[in-house]
Amino acid sequence: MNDAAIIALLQKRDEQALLEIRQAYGGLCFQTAYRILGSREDAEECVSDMLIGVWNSIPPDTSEGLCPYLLALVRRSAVDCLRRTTCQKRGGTQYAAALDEIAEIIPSDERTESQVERREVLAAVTAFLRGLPERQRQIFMLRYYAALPVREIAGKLGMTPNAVKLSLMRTRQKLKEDFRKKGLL
Amino acid sequence: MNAADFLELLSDMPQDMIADCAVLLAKPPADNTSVLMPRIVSCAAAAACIAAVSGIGYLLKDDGMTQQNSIPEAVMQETAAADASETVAAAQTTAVSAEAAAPGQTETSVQSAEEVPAETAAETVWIPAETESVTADTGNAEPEPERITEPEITGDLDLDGRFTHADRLWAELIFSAELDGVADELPLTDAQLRQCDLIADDYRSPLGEAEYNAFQQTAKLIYQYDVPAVLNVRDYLGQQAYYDDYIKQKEVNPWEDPRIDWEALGLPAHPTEAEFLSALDWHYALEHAESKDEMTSGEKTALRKKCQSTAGRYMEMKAALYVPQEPTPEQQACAGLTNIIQLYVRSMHEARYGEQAWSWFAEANFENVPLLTQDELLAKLEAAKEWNFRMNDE
Repeated sequence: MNDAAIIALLQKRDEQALLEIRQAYGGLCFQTAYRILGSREDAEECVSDMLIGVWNSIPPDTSEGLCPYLLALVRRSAVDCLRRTTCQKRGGTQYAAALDEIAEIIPSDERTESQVERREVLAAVTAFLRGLPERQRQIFMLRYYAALPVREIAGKLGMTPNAVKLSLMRTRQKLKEDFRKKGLL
Repeated sequence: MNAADFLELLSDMPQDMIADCAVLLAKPPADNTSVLMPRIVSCAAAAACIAAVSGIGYLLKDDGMTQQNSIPEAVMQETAAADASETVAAAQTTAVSAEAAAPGQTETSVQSAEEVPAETAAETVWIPAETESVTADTGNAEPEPERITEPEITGDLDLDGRFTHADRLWAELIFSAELDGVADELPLTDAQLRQCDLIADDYRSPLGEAEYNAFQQTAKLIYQYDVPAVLNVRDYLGQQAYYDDYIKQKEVNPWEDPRIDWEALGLPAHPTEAEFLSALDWHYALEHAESKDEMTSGEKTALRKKCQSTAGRYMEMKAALYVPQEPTPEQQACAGLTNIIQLYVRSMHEARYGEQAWSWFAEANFENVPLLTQDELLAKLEAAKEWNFRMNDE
């Protein structure tokens, strides 16, 4: 079933839509959550949360297609779960590794609760990423959005792992510089 | 804001950016990831190379590693054979890696001799056919594997097919750049980065300290201790303990140098470390003098002058041992790179010009190395320096 048909089912509030979503995108969403959490049970729970989220947000904002919307939901759920359980400290997941890499350029320990600041940073990151060459942006997103291991990114993009690492390093340095110029660091 | 906040924020990225990511996530891996494919190594070459390494072992056992020019004939023949055929040399180096590699040192697997096609001399990697076509092919015939030959990872940073002095200089440059946090500005190709990837997994660094040391040690073995030039960095790493021990035994302490006429300096023919230091280093001599607390200032001055005089004569003797030589063709060929490194070190370590200057510098030098003289390089550097100062003033 294609996205349009699934969305039509959702708008009719037909629960078959959720089954279709699970079948079409369940694996991708589960993997995304699993890479962040490193726990099968927690990842399953995030997928369930994602389905509830879709159901509650009818009609969903799917201007860019259903898949990105679902990914955003499941990632948000996984990150919330991670924050609740503070399991990022246990390490070992790709998300934890990504966290370490980002900590190199954002060394602060202080968390921010200010929504204004968060929106400001989000706008800055979005603008920064839009300004990157496409390939560099893809690598950054696969690593820090989807928490994909370097080797898998290399496989998907037909690059060597070293080239991916180098690209990530360059992007982090540029991001650091960009944040510094904007007074965000 | 901290790193966790940052990663959390990415969940709220605009949908179009996530869409691109989603497409890639759903995409299967590309089929040309040759670095992940099994390698097939020539068994015959492995045997030849083991013989070469055994030859060096024979040398160590036989003469206690005191004669630098006594590489056994068998090893020399190996060297000559390798020189005659780059293909064989490449296969040998691969074979050494395979024979000596420690577990976990390489992500690729070495296959058995039976699997090696007779015509395979250099490293061969197996690339499967398109996944789709394999799936579609329901017949019994195995898809014919496509073979490609690619350069072995041997530390060949300048990609000329062998490990040379230039590779050591490249390592120096990359490592210095890494220390300064500007390695990502170096115009390194993927092939060069693969050559950096010898030890492994610190992906923040194109060339880590351990890798850099491996380059230095390998070069030392070849250029100072006459190990045949077929040795490469990967071979060195495969037998690191062995080679490090070899270097250690080759290295002679200054007071053990038989070329110095110690008696002419007023020392025993075979001085100890303490005797050597007492004669040449006046701080040491004073510290270890029996009557240190009773010495007058005149006696201390006399001791200092005596030590300085002996040290002066010792330095003259040492200097006389080194006859100035014309640079070898290899050194001449590397002169451009040496200049670059010197300029780089000067710009980064001393002046700290900044990223923009480095970009200019890299562009000026790496794109046009054979075309620029040292004066021209210096002029470029000066221009970059002025630009940077102007930017700082503004």
